[in-house]
Amino acid sequence: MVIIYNHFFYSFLLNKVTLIAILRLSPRGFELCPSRLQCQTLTTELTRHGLSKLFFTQMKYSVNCLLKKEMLTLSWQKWKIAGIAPDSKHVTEQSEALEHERKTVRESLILAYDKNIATRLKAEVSSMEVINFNNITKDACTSKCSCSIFIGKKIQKENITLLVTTYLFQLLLYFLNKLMQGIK
Amino acid sequence: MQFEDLVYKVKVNQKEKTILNGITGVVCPGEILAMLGPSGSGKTTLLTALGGRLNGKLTGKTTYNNQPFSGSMKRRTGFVAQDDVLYPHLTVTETLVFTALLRLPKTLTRDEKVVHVERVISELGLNNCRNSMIGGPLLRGISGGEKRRVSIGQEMLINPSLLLLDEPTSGLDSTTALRILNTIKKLASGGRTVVTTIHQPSSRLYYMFDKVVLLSEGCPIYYGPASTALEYFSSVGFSTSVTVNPADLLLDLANGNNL
Repeated sequence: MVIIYNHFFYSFLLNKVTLIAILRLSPRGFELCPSRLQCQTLTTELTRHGLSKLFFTQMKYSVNCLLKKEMLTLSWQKWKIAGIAPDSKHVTEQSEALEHERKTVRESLILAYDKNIATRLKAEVSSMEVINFNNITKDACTSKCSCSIFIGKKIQKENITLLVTTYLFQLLLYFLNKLMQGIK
Repeated sequence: MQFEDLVYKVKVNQKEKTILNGITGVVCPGEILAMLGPSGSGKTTLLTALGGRLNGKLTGKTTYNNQPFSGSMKRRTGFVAQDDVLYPHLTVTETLVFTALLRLPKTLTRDEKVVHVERVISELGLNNCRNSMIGGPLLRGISGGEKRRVSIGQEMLINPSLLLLDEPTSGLDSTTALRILNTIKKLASGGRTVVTTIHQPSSRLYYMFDKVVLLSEGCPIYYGPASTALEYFSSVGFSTSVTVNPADLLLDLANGNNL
């Protein structure tokens, strides 16, 4: 449990009787501070009312905390040693139920996906394999001269120049060879 | 682009964890595919996998124009990361010219590259801030939306056939997000394939997507047209009587919250 503050003020509302207690939130739970509490009166009052449930309000936060009868009827000495544990079991159960519900929703959605979408999608993917998207062109921008065309034309022009140069070079080599053979 | 049965697993504390679990889909040129899901559902991982940037145990099949991923395909892919990595002291034009000089082929002259940058600036609507500094934590500069557009512009310079965007609207107000998505839509309509992850889009943004993949802890729970998602969930028993943003409803379901 995370310690938020050292001390909390709680107002115990028992019909018309109001008792002020200072509780400390410790790793073990809520502990009563004996120096500021009329613990005897509190114990008597709690037993007299025979409460199985006690809702108390926190001054800063509206926390609804559930205390069990067994805890309330404990003697002060026992309180002092053990403290009043918050109903952590209840909280854990609640979060577990929520987690379980989420898991169930997710599983049902995954099952629905497998049943309704996955099969159809795989068939769609298989049929798409025959379609070639190469004929679909893209525009780089809205202007007349697209950037891809712009770059492409430049590269194309350079390729033609290279091709002509190579051809001329090969022709020159051929004539040189012929010339050398003639000299020999 | 097609991806089929993508599975990605990582080892965490000697235990194998499945990050992506059998994801299949098709995106055609001119379409925008949005990946939706709560934090940690695998959106960015899937995007990285589609961009060929994921290292590790990735199984499945991804093809681009019926061809497997290759170096030439990578050069034609633009990837806009979630964080804008820009030099704060450069202006918008300087940033894009610098990128153009580095990324465009040597066959183009400097002047041609500058002309290309001008086109991208005007295409992304960055004319008003072209001479403003990018800025950073200690230096006032252009707005977040403009920074996002500069990041997109950096990828636009190479004229990608496939544009991958990771959370292009995160941290932006609804109007700026809509403006960014309008820009993306315009780019897609030029024949590009756009894949984007998005976190909590407004309904206006949601209906701009052509297709949606909804992920929940790495598993797909919806794939199909954005416009029919609500109808689908209603048909499988998850409907709501109140009018809600479809993206919110989808995220609730991906989180496992019953409606």
